Amino acid sequence: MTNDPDLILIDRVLAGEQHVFAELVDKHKRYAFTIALKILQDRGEAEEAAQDSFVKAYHHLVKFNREAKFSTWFYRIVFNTAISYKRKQKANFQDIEHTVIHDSADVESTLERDDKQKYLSLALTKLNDQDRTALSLFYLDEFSLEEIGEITGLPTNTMKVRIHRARQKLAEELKLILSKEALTL
Amino acid sequence: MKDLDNTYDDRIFSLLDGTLSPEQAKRLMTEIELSASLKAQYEEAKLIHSMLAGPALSDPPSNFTHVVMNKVNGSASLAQPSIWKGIFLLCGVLLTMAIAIVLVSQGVFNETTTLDLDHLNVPQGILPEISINGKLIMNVILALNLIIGFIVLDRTILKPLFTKRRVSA
Repeated sequence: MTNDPDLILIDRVLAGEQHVFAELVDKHKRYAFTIALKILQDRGEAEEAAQDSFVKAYHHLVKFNREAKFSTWFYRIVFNTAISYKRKQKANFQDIEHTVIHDSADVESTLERDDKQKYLSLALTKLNDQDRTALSLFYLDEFSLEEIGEITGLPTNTMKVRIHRARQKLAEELKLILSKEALTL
Repeated sequence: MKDLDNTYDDRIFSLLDGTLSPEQAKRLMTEIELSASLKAQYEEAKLIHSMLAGPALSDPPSNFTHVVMNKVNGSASLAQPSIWKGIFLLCGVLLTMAIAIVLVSQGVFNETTTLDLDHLNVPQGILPEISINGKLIMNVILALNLIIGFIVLDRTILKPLFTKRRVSA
């Protein structure tokens, strides 16, 4: 007998109570959407990728290994789905940089916090997908390094190094952005 | 110099992550206090750390769950056949096996057939003589049926039954 609430919900879904799946969706949708958004940098695409991930998870629920943690298994599906969306996105040649600059136009010159977020978002887009995802997952505070490794399919030590390097790269990018900004003043 | 910076960067971020031991943290803080460049590096790392640790979760649209459930409902239901379907399937497998066993025991498949390849224009001795043992083939089919029967019993009857019991418990 397990006490994990996710497993109890999964058992009920597998026993034929399809509507119970909505409870799992409600519980994990914010993390799923955030992970997809960090990778795709586009709300519409992130929404679609997160929804697709839930549908995939539903269809593979029978194969879910009960010894594993549901969230880790599910966020790996989200990660892989978002990465495959990203590949399609790249094939369609959408320039993320322009999207970010356009989005940030309305929030410019508001609060300092918003400015920080704007520069951070801009700097994050300069990182590669893997670094950005690793960093985002790390700062979601929900996952341990081991879990992040499982989600992204990388060993824990590699993940640790990646996060350190990503932060260093982010610092360099921020300096670059801020110096450019200072020159335009 | 760059390597030195990287080493400190790693240690500073470890300090901010809270993964350094109290002694290591204390030692590093002392070093930071004593060096202006290290202090600048620390302030920079702290700023990035605080920026990243800001509002992290994004909210999906309010109809998100509804859309997912529509997609789920629109697709085929989970591949978990009912126990009754499983019982019927198992009965079918067992019936087939019973008929096959009766036929085998009555000696219907006792004859051994030899494939006649003489009509082919190939010099003698090149082609091997192929004999087909009907009883052996039937026994193999029966063994395979038995395996299928066990799989059907496990997947469609026992597994759903225990899942139901676990849920109701």
